[in-house]
Amino acid sequence: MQEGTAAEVLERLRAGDARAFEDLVVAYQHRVFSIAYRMLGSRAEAEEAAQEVFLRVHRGIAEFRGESKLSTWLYAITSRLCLNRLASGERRMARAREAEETLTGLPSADGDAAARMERSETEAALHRAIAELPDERRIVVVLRDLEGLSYEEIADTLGLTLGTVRSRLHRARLELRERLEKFLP
Amino acid sequence: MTCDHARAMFSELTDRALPDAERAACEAHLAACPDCRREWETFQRMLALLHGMPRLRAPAGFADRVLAAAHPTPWHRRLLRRLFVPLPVKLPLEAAALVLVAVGAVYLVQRSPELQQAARRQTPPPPLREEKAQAPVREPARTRQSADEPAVASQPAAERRAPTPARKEAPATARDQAAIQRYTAPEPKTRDRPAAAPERSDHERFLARAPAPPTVSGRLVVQDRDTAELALAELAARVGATEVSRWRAEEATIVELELPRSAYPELARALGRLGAWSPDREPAELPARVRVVLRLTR
Repeated sequence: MQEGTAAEVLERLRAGDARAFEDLVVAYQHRVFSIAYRMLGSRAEAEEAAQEVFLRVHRGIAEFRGESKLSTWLYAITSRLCLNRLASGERRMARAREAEETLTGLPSADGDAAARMERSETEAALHRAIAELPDERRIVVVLRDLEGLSYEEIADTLGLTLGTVRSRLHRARLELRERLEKFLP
Repeated sequence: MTCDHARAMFSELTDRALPDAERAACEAHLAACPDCRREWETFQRMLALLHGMPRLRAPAGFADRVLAAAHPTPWHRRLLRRLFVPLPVKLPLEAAALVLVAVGAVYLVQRSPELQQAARRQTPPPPLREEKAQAPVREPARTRQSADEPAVASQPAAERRAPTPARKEAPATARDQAAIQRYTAPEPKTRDRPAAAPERSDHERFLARAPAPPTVSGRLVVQDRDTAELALAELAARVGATEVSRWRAEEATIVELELPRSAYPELARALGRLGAWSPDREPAELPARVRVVLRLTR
């Protein structure tokens, strides 16, 4: 969603326009779901979390002061929700199993070719490598390398300093490089 | 710049997040250090792999589920939707079910005599005058008589006895005679009854109940009909006869008795004492049970 469009949607949301919320969901559903899936590793849990994100936005739109971009606010809610879920004891126990889960069967934007690629060994290794990153580093990699947020946006989203973002991102990337060494020519 | 220092800047160098001076120093080191350059290239391949991951999409229907959760549908709308949506499927099914129920109901009514009878009773009876005009010899139904009573009572007594020609009603005496003749007459009279008539009066139903023509029939002329009717009842009791039916018309009283053959001679003799007994039909050979129908007139 373009910046101007996002501002317009925000205005309509504040004015109580029901269609504005629909536009927001349609525009951001894939990105929110993608972040949730990369963080939680479970399709069902990611869908549940993504739905909860939009419901929180719907309930809390009146409290949004507009100091950051609408998208940043949305990613912040998504990240916080995922990190909170991951921090729960039950979720930690389940993580070992989910780290082995592959992306088989997940819908992708690139159709059959991408699906075949995702089933490949390299893809599975990459997914495992991301899943095994510590939560606070994984969220930075997901936001930067998979969703394309800038350092500043990540800092706003996660409430971190730019230095912390830089540090966590670099450590995460080095860790990924080490884990994927045998797949890198 | 050392190798460690240069390698620590790989991420920021990739993301163009370094100040110009630091970027230039890092690039110069990479140009001069083959190990760091190899490391840089590996780092870039890993990032290419990461950036090449396909974008994930939310499952189909996800947005609808979110909207439904955000705006819960009221229960009556959900019920209507379940009943009628999808219309192209549910509407024909509901129409077919309606037709089936209607056909079933019609079939049930046609097959159940009780329901048919109930349906017929609900239809109003045709006007009495019309019936009388069409069948002048038929005795008006008892129920209809009572229904007409208020209208008749409002007429003068003379008018009631002798109806106006405008009503096209046969004189009472003629009707009585016809009824008596039809009742006491043998088989052909029974067959002549208007069986095709859709509705029958009480008298017709009375006649229809007569199972067979009487064994003996005749006319008993008496001075006083009331006294004779009483005497006839006593006589029947005395000789062991059973009074099957009694119908009192204006001109005559028709009494139907049933008695054993052995008791008939005594009955015949006693009838002669009550009045002038003239049998129209009296076979020589009587069955074990004799059915006697007599017209009591003055």
